[in-house]
Amino acid sequence: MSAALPMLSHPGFELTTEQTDAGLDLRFSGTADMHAIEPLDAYLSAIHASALQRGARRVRVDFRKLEFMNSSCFKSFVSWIGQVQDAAPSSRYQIEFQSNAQMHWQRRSLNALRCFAMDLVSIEA
Amino acid sequence: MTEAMTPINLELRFQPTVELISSTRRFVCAFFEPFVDDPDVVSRIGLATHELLENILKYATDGRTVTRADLVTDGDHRTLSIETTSTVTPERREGLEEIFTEMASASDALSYYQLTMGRARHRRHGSGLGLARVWAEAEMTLSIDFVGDSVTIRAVAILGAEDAS
Repeated sequence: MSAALPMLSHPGFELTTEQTDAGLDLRFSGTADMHAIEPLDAYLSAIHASALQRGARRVRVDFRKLEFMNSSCFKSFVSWIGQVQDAAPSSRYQIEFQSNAQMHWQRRSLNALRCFAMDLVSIEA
Repeated sequence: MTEAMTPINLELRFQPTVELISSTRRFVCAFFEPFVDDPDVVSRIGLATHELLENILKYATDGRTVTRADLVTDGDHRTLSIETTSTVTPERREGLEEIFTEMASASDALSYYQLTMGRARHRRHGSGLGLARVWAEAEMTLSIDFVGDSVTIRAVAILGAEDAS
């Protein structure tokens, strides 16, 4: 069973979220640029709060339709992962990224995030 | 053996906006695609272009830049470079000098990138990740030159013959 949560939408960028039995599914599309920084920061913090509240075991992040992400939006992910690292061990959840091999930047950016938190982040090509 | 080739140069003089930065990234990628076989290299060019132009938007005192992209053949290797020139405040110059000094003393691009990611977590303004990302993810070496209040940041990648079209 899944339920849609509020979406984040700007010209050229969209982020939708669904609650599933296992946790939360986030789907990105378009370009995460300077317009997206503040709302994305706030959104990922809200996702973290929601994941803790629901006792989620994993959050899946679908980048397959994400054309590009700038370093400031990348930093939003670093902060989010940091929040999960700071949570009590029993509350921590896994973050699973789904990537698109045609978008070559994703391999490098996601590998950097995985190196940042090997125990929390996994990548599905 | 790589065929001798005329250098390819692209120069843009403009005032970047958020939208123009994405358009320019796509244009630079499309421009170099016929000359570079490896789509991963094209993606790296795009990433470097985007990050350097966002720095212009954030820090250039008049918001303007001269941005150059060059592809030059040198024997069996080709050098691809992206450089942005703009005017900056003395405070920004000082900040850039600190970043480049720190990068020069870092053991390698990836460890510096992880270090900046660790710091970025707690930053309230800006990410401080742009140049580190160009170095680590675009795999381009960075250099900087100051002339008066003008700064030029140059990102360079050496491509093997196998990357050339």
